[in-house]
Amino acid sequence: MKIIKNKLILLALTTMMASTTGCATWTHLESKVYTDKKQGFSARLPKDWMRFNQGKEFIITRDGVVLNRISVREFDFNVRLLDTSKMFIESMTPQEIADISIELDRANKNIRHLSILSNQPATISGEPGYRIAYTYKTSSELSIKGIEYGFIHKDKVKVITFTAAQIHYYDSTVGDFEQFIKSFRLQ
Amino acid sequence: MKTIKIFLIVLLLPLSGCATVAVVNMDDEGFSVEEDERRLASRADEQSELLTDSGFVYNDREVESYMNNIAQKLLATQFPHGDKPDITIVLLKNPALNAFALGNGHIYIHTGIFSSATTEAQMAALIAHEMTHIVNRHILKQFRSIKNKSAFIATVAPLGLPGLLAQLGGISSIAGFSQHLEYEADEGGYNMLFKSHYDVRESVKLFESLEKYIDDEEIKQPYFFSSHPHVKNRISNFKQLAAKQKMAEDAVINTAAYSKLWKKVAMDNMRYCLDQGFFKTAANLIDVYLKRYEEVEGQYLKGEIYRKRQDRPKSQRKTSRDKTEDYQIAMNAYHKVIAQDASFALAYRGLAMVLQKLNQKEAALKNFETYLSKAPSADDQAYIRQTIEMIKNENNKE
Repeated sequence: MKIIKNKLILLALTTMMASTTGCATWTHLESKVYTDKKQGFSARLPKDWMRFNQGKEFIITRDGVVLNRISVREFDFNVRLLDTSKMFIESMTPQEIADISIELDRANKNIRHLSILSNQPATISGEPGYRIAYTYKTSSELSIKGIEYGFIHKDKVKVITFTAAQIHYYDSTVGDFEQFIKSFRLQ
Repeated sequence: MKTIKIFLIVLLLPLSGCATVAVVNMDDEGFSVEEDERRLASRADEQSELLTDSGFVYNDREVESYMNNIAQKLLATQFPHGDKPDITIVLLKNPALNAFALGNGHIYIHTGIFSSATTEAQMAALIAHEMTHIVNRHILKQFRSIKNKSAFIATVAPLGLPGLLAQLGGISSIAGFSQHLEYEADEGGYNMLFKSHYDVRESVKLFESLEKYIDDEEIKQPYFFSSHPHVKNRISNFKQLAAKQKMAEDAVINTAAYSKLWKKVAMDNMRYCLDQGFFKTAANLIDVYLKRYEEVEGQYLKGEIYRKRQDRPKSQRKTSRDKTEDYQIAMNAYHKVIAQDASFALAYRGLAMVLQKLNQKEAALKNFETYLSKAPSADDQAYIRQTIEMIKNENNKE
């Protein structure tokens, strides 16, 4: 969650830059299976969402990244997470990875009134992982509701996140996310 | 909101031209609140409101009331005839060793520095220091002396809580004052402490803890010290001040009431340390805690701190932390808990997690099973079953 916040600024800047250089920054999506070669997964993309074409991360949104988005990111082991001394270690269990993710969010000054609604194990494309559901307020007072899945695959921690504004946008797009997760397959 | 703040800054700037007007302290004759000071206070009120709504306030009436009583006791020595300034102490959930005062008389103390102040006299020293910034109107003095207006705007302009927490400079004491004003606050605070019958030698201990924290967490510039008077110089100054005056034999060092509050805040602060990765501070604090309170909750937390610890010394930055010793300390702590209270389920879980890391799978499985049986309604039962399954799968593969 925390990492996404910082990426948003970068995302906005990249969009601006790309628009001046003539690149297509966003791709309008049809409901079809998409394969991400960089991160090694495939999933059925929700109809009428937009995919961001820049950077390493997979990011899609329907109404704008602040209002709703799905992202897939991966993290190396033994690399400090943000400005803390914390890192993911290969031997960690899904519960330990979930704990670190929650601790980082608790320590994040951009995330206020964080509330963990549930924190349970999950299986993602056959890999044991975790699923956390949560709410928080952004520093600009927007109430956000989100779901995060995480698991270890091929020497990396993969994190799939869905966040949406709690009013209206969460309920109207959480179904799309559940479909995305259901169809998510590792390559 | 942004427009209002920029408007306020624009309003404040012309007033900063009053640099030649002498600023008397609040306890001096002829003191009156001036217009630019009112505006600074009004801006500070906005910041206080943001902090109140932030979710970062440690809402505990008992703690706040006790701290405010210490403040009143200290103020009474400075204002014996009443008419004291309004001071409000607020505790923030933050393991960083910091404290700061705003222009509206609010003093914010982090749980980190609270936990570092192990006696009431140390806490009183901290409060007295921050109160001197307010009583001696350092914020106004600082404001009027600022020459670089654009830098000033940069420090008061941040919008929203992250900006506020990151750089409250300009309207508070956290960005640090000049060397002269910091020494003045040290001396003023020292005098308040002495007159209030606290043992002033405790202030040295507070600064020594802060020095250790800077070193442990490799902090470049903690707000409380500011960059100007080096902490070592200030420790030396306090020692000199203490040597000049003879302390009464019954000067207050600590009270049972303060110890009770310290215990609660220190325990919470160690959890905040774990959240933010202040592992060394947590490890130091748990030792202090356990010297005072040899109890299972503390031992369990010690196990958790060492199990989760991930910080690395500077010399080992490029390698992972060697966890062998940490795991041993963690296991000892969990074993102590179990020896004292065999029904303390979480200790079995911690022990199992460490054993799993040490590749002692059978022992890990046994302890996970014990945890499940002792805490049948624990929130993480499903996780533990998942882990058990993973260990069994690994065993089958081998």
